[in-house]
Amino acid sequence: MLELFGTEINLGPIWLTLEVASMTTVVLIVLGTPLAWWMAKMRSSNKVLLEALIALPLVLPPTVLGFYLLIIFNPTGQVAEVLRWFGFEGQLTFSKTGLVVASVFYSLPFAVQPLMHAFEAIPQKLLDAAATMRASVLDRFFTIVVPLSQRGFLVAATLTFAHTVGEFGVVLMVGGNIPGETRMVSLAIFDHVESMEYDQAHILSAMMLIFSLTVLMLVYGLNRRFGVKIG
Amino acid sequence: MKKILRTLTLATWFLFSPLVFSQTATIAVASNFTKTIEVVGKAYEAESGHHIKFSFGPTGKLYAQIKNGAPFDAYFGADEKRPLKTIEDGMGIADSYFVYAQGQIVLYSSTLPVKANALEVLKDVKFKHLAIANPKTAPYGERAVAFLKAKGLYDGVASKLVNGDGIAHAFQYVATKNAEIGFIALSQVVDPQSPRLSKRSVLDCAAT
Repeated sequence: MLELFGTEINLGPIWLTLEVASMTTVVLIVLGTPLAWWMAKMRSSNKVLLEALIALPLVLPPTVLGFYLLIIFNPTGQVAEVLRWFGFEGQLTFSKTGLVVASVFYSLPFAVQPLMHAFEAIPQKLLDAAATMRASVLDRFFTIVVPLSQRGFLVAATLTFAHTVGEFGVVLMVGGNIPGETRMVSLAIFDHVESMEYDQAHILSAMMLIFSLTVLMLVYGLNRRFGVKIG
Repeated sequence: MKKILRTLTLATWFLFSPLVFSQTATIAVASNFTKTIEVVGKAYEAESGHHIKFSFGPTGKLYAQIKNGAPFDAYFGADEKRPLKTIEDGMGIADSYFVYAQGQIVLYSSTLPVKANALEVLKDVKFKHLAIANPKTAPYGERAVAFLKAKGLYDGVASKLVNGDGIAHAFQYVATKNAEIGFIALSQVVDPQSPRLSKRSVLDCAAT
């Protein structure tokens, strides 16, 4: 609890949001990097399909993803059975883990697209030259690709984080609005507005506004200075 | 058994719109009454020649919208409190207020023996999630919490509660089996069009 302008503000949703967004960002950078690399090097026409699939969350209403996840995450369903087979006993709906899984899908394009564009911009001859000097694939990746794509990584991480912070529809549909578990800031604001607790809604909204503006200025600032393509 | 949980009194009022000529009325309706009023609305349209547009949502949310100037001609709430409040606020005609139906809240589960022994089921807490409508905005959620508190069961299940945005959302959690058990509206269980729920697994809380 924090008192601001005479209004009690529960900070729980803020910490939870930062936690979910951080976890999503880590997962997406780890999984998105090999995916983006594979796509950057892809020559076949399947690339179009893959690019379109990854961009889907930009276009689809979050309710579509929310609805499918509600069906797929159902603990009596097949996906849950497969997960149990792998030793995962938890439930994905109504849980923080579930929100991270949902956010990974939801924020996928924001991680993969900047990375892919950064990787595509790396001259192949640099990699070929390193290969002639017997640098292994991993060695080439970490000594050439990563340093040259630094801004791409930064933009991918920032956008993924920010986009997850701004998530609402999916969280509303599969989260269950549980304090400390799935009540993220966007949902807390929605709750305050619905219950006409406008003071709390005002303060949380203003915080979100300032946060989002700062993040976007950061991204565009990076973009201008280093010319990384996004989106 | 003592009657702990009373039926919900559903109340409504009408605004100034005279509905004399063929007109379109926009009506705010509590989510639990969705299916019923759609049938009533169709019959009314056929008979009167007027058109009706419904806006569904949790009673408390609709109240907030009305207070902020939502263009509703009538308001069907799921409690008496909020329609009366809108009249107090000067947003509705006092004379138009009346109780239109008695809603019933039920405890539902497809896996647990709620009908045979609801209180035991709630006491044993052998479920991961108990779905209710958000008690802050939905009267059905408010009543569910009141019921649990009256029976001294609230603290035992508090960590299992998942809040749907309204009763429709709580129902959706139960119908998709994401929550094993939930407090929903009787009208949702008996509705032939909703995902099929077995009537045998329903505890009518009004009769408890």
